[in-house]
Amino acid sequence: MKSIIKIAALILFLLPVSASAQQFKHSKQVTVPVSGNCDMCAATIQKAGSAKQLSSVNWNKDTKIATITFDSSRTSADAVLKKIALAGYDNPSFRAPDDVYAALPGCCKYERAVAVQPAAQQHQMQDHKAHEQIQNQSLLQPVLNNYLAVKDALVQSDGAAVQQQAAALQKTLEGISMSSLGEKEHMAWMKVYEQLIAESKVMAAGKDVAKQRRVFMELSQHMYTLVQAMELTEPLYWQFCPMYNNGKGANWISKEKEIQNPYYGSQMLTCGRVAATIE
Amino acid sequence: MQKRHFWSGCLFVIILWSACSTWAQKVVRYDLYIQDTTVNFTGKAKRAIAVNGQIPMPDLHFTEGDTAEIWVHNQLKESTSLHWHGLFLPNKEDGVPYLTQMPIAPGTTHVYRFPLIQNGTHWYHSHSGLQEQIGMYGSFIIHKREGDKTVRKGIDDLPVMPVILSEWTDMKPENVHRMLHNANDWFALRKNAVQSYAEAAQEGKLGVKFGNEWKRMLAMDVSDVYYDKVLLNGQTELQFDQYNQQPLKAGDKVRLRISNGGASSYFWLRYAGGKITVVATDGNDIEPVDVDRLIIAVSETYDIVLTIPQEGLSYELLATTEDRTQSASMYIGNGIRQLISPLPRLRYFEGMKMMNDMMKMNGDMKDMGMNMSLNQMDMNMVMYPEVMHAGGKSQQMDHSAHEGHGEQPMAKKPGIVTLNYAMMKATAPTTLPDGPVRTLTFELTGNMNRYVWSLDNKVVSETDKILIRKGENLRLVIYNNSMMRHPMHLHGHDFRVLNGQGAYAPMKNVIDIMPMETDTLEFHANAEGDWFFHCHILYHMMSGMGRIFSYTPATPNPLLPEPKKALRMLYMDDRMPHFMAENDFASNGNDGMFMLQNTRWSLGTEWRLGYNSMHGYETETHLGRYIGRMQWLMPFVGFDWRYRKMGHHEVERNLFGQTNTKDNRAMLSLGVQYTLPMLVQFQAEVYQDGNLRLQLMREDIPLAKRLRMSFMVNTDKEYMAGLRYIIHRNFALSAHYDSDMGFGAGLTVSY
Repeated sequence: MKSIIKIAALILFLLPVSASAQQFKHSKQVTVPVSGNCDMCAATIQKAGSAKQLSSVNWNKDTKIATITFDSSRTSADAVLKKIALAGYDNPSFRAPDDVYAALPGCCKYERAVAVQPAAQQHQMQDHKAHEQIQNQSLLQPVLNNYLAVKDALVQSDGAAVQQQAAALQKTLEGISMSSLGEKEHMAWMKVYEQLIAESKVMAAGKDVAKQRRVFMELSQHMYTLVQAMELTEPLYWQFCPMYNNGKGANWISKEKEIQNPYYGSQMLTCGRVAATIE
Repeated sequence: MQKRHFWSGCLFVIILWSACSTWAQKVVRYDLYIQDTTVNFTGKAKRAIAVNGQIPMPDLHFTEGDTAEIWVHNQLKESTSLHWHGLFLPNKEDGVPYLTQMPIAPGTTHVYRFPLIQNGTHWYHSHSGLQEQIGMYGSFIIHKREGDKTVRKGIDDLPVMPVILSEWTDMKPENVHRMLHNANDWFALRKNAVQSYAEAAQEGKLGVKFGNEWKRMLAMDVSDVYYDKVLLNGQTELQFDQYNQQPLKAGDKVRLRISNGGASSYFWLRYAGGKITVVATDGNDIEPVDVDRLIIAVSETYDIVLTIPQEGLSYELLATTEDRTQSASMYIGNGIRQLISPLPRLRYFEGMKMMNDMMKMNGDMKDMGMNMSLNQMDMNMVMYPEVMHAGGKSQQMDHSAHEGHGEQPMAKKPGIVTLNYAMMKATAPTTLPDGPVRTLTFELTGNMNRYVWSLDNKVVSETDKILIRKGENLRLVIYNNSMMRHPMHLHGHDFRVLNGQGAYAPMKNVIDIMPMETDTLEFHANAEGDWFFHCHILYHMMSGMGRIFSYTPATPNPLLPEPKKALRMLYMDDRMPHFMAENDFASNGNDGMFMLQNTRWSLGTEWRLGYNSMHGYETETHLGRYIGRMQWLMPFVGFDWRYRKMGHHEVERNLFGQTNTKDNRAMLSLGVQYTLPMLVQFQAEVYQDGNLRLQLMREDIPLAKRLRMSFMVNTDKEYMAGLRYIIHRNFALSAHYDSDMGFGAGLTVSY
């Protein structure tokens, strides 16, 4: 028993030594300050900077000093520091990308040595983006508007109005020029536009509300794919009626949070719930 | 009246001529010494070619109106040539061996001399064999004349640096080329892009993988070759911190003249300091356009303007290969280097799914009526996590998001603006001079499995030159019906890219055409001689993906005393056969094969040699020709020899009741091989004695990243099944069971 404890103690004693004094062929060691806060940071920093037979890093959370040991014939301190920065930790050689820093866990959000100045130009860029958003939005917005009109007509259980609005939707869909859409919208559009057109066509073919509702279920799913890719100015609600479709349930999109069920209309107007908010 | 016009015309001509001659008097001479060298980019010393002792070749600077005089001293043990990419010059200076000149022989000097009648960012490279891959590329910059009215304030007066992108592989390029032609998946293995069944199962994409193999596709990547390093001006890291001894500071703008001198890699360019302003392409000014990123196709050039936003930081310009396996960085400014996040790994199975949807069973691509053109719609986008799924989420979370209906609402992220050809607008009208218009249509075709790349399913050596007349306006309509993108380059001319900008269509000499895209180009035939038009991916060009435009009537080229003989030499490039061989040294015998293949022909021998006569010895040799664009069909003639000692009067009987003794049997045969869905090879073969043999076989089923399975079964009641575990480019551990020889395990050596 005693010998086991002795061996265990010996192992415990040896472990950190062998870890910290890892030797490489052309071993070289430097100490560099690396920003960070906690043990979690230490783990990330050490993992990022260590590679088999290449380099190892030991970061001290109290002094914020990293001891970097590396094979100078195969890598450099700078290369290791770059990996550390790409994991989110600023150092004298490299500053981490802002999005990587932003994704660090809360406890690891150390104070950055160099803050990004809000340059006038960056404002301009944002304005530019906002402007673009409005432009993008206007392209698929008519589709959404027509869809919502179809939905409203179904809420009223007015088959003739549905027919009219579905025809308008079909026309709008067919008028969309795919090449002018943004990347994300374009992808979504490609996935669903054929179905959307086919479905609106079917809905515009007759005045039978029951039939229209069955198609509307499919139409809504495809619209959902599309609106998720859109830049929206106001949130939309992905709503769910658990009863329709033989109890399997069906969804629709609405601008209002309050339920106005298009599948049953006045029969059970407020049956349903908000399944998701689309922003 | 007439007379006055004549005289004023004369006067004008004289003034013009004297003006020209004062500019043209300046001859700028460069001496280039081309030598073998040894480089060490990865820890291993490898052969490369250096010019004046450096890689890349030196930057050459000129001013429009100069005469370039470039003395090329070939100190290699092989011939060479230099092509001036994007330049308008006399045909004999174009530098294509066997087409515009004879190759520059070892130990000799060749002088290129031509007037420079344009400006902008261009580059130069060897057009001989695969020399471009191992160092023979460099920037060729022609500055605008002082006082040129096209000089743009805030662009042409900025601190500037030429940057040439390239890649390095430790493998010999000849070997790279050979492996590509043999559908070797070693590169995919290095890139972790094998896309095996096990990996598909892990990602829940088994159905996609089956669908892909059902359509007879091998796993695809966005690029073919794995490279060890990516280089900017020959280095993996570069700093641009001062200009004319003045340190760069916050607020400064810099201009980079970027050429892609890579042999087969496209590069994404992204900047940590904000937008990238693109101001020129292929040496032609365009209206500045701001983007978040751009992809630079092989052999394209772009001039970009970058701003340094803040003091105390220098900003990374990251060049990442399209497959995202390698990158190189350049830092602009002084201070701590601000990094940009690397591009996340491609989602290969999403790409595979997209490919399945886009490919018809007969190998044609279908674009689903999308009228794709001008890189406006990058189908590979389905593979880009940064676009399809806003960052921060782990792979695992993505999976769960895929379950249920539709996709998880994406985090709000402003769209990434990527440069495309429709965004480019020339700074002045580019309408062509009047002339008869002729339209030529081309279909880019290819076959990944056999690495055959062609136009209209014909390689250079299978076609005649395309005859054109001076004064014509040629309109090229090009449709890419292959699975890979191709940067198509025209020598000696710029073409207009018809992109919806009307009279201001941009001028380029390279256009990247993505799968399923159709692009329309037009150019004015204003030269003489023979001009190459080809895909600039080096290994595609060497496989014959190109055409020759030839001005008629032909003008003799003094550098080509025997043009017919020379043309035959040019055709050698794509006629060259590629060799592969393999042998499994197993406990129960030796199994192996060798193969010689080119664009259409295949000569192969397989052998199974037991260690005793009971196990037997057999070889099969087939000489066949691949038919059709997808090359699924191959009729062949064969010769079989087998010897197997069997019991007394023992005969083998096949499924059809035909008998054979296998006892010292030598047979000629006729047969046909066809690739079935799931990439299974079906073979039907009739021997001279009337025996028929049908066989199903598949090799290299990618079970897991390094594990391959193979099987064979035929109507002679022979069968075989085996497994291979790849440990190295040339070695694999193998085990198999064979109906003749039983179970065996060993080492497979392949070349």
